[in-house]
Amino acid sequence: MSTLIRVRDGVAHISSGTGDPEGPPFLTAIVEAAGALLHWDPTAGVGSPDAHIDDLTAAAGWLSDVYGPAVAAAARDGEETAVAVDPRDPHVVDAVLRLGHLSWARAWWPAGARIPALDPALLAAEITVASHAVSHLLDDEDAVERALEDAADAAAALAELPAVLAEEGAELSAALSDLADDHGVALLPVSTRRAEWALAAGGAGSAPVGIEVASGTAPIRWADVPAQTVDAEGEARWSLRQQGGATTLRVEVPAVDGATADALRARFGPEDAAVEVTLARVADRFEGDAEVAASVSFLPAHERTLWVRDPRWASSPGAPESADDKERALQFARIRLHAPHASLAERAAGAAR
Amino acid sequence: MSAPAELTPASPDVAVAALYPRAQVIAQAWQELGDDVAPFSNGSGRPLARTMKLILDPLVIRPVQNPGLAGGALTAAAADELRDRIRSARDELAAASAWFLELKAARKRLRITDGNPQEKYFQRCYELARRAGAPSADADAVATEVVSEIAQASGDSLLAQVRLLLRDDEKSARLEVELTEAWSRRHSRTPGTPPPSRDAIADALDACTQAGPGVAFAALVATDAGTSAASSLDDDGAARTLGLTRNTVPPVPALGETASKRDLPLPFDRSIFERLFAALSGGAAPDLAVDAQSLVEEEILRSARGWELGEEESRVALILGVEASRALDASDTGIDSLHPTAAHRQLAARWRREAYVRRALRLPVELGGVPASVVADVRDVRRGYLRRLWVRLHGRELREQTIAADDLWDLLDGVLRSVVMDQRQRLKVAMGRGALGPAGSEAA
Repeated sequence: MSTLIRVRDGVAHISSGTGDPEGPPFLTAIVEAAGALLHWDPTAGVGSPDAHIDDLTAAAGWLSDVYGPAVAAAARDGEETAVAVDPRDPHVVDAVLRLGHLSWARAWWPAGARIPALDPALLAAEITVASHAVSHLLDDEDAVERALEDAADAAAALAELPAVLAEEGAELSAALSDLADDHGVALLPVSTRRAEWALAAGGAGSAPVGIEVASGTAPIRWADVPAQTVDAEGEARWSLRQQGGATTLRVEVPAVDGATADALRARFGPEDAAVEVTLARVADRFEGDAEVAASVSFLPAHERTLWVRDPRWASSPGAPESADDKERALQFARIRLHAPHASLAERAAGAAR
Repeated sequence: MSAPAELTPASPDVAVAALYPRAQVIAQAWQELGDDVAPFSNGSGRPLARTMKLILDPLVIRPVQNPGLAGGALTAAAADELRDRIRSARDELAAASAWFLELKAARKRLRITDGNPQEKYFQRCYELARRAGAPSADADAVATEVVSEIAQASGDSLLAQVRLLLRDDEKSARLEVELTEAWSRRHSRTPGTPPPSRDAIADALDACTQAGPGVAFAALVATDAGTSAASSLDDDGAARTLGLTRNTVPPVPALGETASKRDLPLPFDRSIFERLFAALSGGAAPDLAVDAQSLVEEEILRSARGWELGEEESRVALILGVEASRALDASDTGIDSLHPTAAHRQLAARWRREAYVRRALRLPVELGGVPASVVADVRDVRRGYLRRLWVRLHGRELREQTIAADDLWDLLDGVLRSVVMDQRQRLKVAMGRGALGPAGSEAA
């Protein structure tokens, strides 16, 4: 496979031509390497990452390992050229791709009704070991220590794996506690479990009252809500009901099993007269009601807009995300659940179905 | 794996003095050592960052004594020599690895949980290996003794002595007098030399991102550029603009006797005790036989010098950071607006990259709904940067790690990395996705 090298304003770009640095964030895996940002589309099955290298001196230690001497030399000499990728250490490339994939899964795994959620504690444990594998090329010297802190409660998740994965779980558990000992990070004992992940959703919710006079649906931007909260394949639904002269707006958003989110909000209607609704977990969804002025029922169709988001993630509505791109991520996730080389977190989710 | 021909020369056109990436030379020599050094290696069999910092560089390669082995690229001869040095240390490195396992086991037996074992034990393991070879029958006893000794010699036990000293009325009264005198001499100080020229600073900032002899940095140190630039700090609000104090002019510090890691004032507003606390708490004691009394006296003198730092090298590093960090402030017009140096460009690149990285990690980018304190940190990145740079420089002085030209870029870039990573961690906490642990809470 050959790769293109361009050097502009002191920044060297290495690109296989398949990746798009401006692609949607949910199709971008990254690894922050010394002197460079490695990035690729995690669903594309690439053999090596693309790179923006802004400090060639810092990157000199690993460039040949990942891309081979010819690419390293071309980047250094500022040539604009195409060179064959010939990694000196393919294991390092695999480890880099693995780390980037795991970080992507933690951020963007499209959990929902059809795709089970990944256990963040398992992911954190795997990210720790993957970070240790390539710590020599990471930008952050404390990457392993930071990852360990995220993985502090992984012991319980590793102990609860289904029998077919138990052996792997035990190995990962041993590796994790070894690293914790090396870095003086205290892991929590098996009996401790991060509460919100184990919590089942409560309450059946109240049945809507009155007569439905209007309803509609709207897509939800993945980038506007936290990971693994809103069903990635779901749409937000709004409805207006009337009873005894009062008009009520109800918003419903399908939720990921076991997910809690206390900050989801919905905004309905035109910007200058929008109605804000706070959503709370009810049965299999996030739901909220608000009494609205009767005039809301008469809004023209193009003003019946609904925007669901966690305000910490998004403070203004963004451009719609491409349905095709989302489908790529969903399709990829479905395959990963049962792929033999997938991460433990993915296979555990697949086995639990 | 012996001939340099296996490596790619960094400059194939330069036939006489072909260059080899140093990190690659080290990695290859290290891999020959195999499983014997596994505790010092990462999952790909490369030396850990702390193995480099605490063992290979200071004890095996020793670039200060062997300047040819320093820098990012080596000549063929230097690459050979470096490889030989690592090979001939094979037995010691293997023995030191075995000692690390012993020390870790002893730590567990003694139920010690403080600090990072790699940070605290690596150097001692190598010394043990040199002195006693591989662990033998008495390894348990030796390891227990070493681990308890290290625990007792921690920065915290030294701080406890400092606290006792400062609570002694008679002694602290004498120290108050020393403090007042040191600061009255400071106020009568007149700037001797003119402040450094922009060109001199720009030269140093251009040179620091590349390996080289560091002439520009040395010239600034030789002309006391840091000290002469410090006189401007007494102008109204100058030090406050840089985020080093909340006051219009830097106040005379109090002696103090308490401190809290989560709640330290800005550098120039810290008491003498808080300064020592920030540098020593939770870490190793300084590697010198210093007692509480002289530690406090030195800190008093340091506080009254330019930039409240003791070494000219530190002061120069700080003024270089002041200039380079203008690249983080879009509204600023420093050297960078017209003629950015390499340091400006690379700091700006790291900072710009952060928005892209946050987006890819599904972390907030716009910050509209993020807690105000986190937003203020992100918006005010330059002040946060300079604050942390001062803290690092101060900490290095206490450990007698004077800044050399070779360390400069690692320092200037590393401080921004650390500020950015802390911001990211704070965002994760605000989003309910992480815990504030030791790695995310440098006392700055």
